[in-house]
Amino acid sequence: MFTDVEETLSRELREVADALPVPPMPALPEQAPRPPRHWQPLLVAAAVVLVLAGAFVALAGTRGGHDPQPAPPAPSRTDSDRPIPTSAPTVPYVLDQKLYVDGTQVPGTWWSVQSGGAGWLALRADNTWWWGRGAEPTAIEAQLDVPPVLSPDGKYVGEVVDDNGQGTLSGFDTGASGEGLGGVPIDLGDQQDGSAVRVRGVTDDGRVIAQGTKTAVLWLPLVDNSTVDLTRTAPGLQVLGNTPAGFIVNDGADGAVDATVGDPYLATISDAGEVTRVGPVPNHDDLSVSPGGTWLAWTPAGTTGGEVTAIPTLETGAVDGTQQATLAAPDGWGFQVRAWAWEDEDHLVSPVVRDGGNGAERMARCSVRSNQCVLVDGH
Amino acid sequence: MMHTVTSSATAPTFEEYAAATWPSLYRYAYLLAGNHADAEDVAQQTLMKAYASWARVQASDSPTAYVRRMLTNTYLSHRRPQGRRLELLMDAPPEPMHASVGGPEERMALWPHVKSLPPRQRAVIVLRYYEDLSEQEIADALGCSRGNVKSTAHRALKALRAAMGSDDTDGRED
Repeated sequence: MFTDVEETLSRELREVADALPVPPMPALPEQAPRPPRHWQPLLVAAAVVLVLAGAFVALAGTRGGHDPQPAPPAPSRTDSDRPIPTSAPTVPYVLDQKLYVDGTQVPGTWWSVQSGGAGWLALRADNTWWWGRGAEPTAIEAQLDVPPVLSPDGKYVGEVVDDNGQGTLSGFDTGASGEGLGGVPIDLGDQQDGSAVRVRGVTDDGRVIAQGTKTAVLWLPLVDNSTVDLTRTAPGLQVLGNTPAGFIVNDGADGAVDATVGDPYLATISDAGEVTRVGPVPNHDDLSVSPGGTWLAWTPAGTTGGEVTAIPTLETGAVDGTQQATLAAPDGWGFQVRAWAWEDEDHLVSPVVRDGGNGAERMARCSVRSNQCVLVDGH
Repeated sequence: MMHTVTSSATAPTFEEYAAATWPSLYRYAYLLAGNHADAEDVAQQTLMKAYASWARVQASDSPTAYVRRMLTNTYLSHRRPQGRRLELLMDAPPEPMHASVGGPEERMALWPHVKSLPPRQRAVIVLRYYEDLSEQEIADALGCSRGNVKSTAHRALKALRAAMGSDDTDGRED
């Protein structure tokens, strides 16, 4: 460190602090502790307006958050003949190992991408992870042996970093140029015996859950950097992922470690590690929820394992369990497994491959409301 | 520096703790945020978090360190558009970006440049040179390793020296 700079810093920081006019402390709440965001009187009036205007944002904004939220309005299917747009997807996607973001091909060869809001997280063919907001990619420099995870709104990434055997549960903010969230030590587990710890879900408010067969931790980097041992607060619980409608969990009965057996459900998990059930979801291999938390799309349990690379249909339904339907890929095509993504509360997009697997790939867009799919203009 | 609450026969109520801590919380928040509006917002949010987690704050080994960590994390996650927030918070016209242009603060050699550092670097600088924390204590506050603190401090000091117009660092590092 530099002595001259250090002395000047110490002196100036004290001078600034000592000369500060400190405003009066704001009035304290009178009720039992609750965590309102602000209590300054001016904000109360503003908040009344904002709460009304932001009600729907709040519905979708919890995403596995502290308190159970009222269910969004039930969506409805239509028999509309309104054509499904055939323009290029509006969300990042990988086609023929090329990654496209905002209509621009990102250099490199890519395996997959996940996205939410403005943020995306992608796996390059050299098994390095990259993220971005827009088409400019940024590498994750840390050593990752297990996949990082993006929050539903794309703002935060959670990761388990292996630094020569020392594990750290870490993360960063994609909205702040990758500003780090800090980190806490974590037992990495063992890849060989299947106990490796990986991030299971990241919420839109930056809370991270990591779990292995012996470890389950809720980390609160933006609250007080504390961790909560979920094996104590929710013994046996398997956190399988996070969605705009809450965490996908399984209570672990009969040894269930995924959602193919047992009774998986959506849940919120509080800062104290308490689990609140929101509603059931079907047994599945893969399941995703629309950005507003109203629709599910999934592949039934056992349909995508082994050598399966494409499937002819997806299942869809409202989050409340109603309006289930089977969505067929365009004639002669099949959905690539684990590659579809929601664009909005009606449309999802997916790479599709020719039946018979002759190598041709296109993008398809499906309307859940009209239960139809079309091929879209592609690159 | 942040007010230290010592244990006594009777634990302070949250109200007592908040009243005693508010000035030091605010000063620390100002050094991090660099302006009054953000400092007040960050300090308020931190008090609310402490209020919501009061039992955990009290039970911690050091409530002061616990709340300092809360404030630091609140500051580092504080990313709302400044203009909109100022409109919501203030009943007077928003302060200019440099509230004391031409004032004593702006005539200081380093403080204006400290305000230009990336948030994490600024936090390390303030914790080290205002709060007088050790590298390990800073690492605890930021939830990172000592090595990370050291490298972050090194980058920050290098940037500050460059900003002061001197790039000659030979033989002057500890």
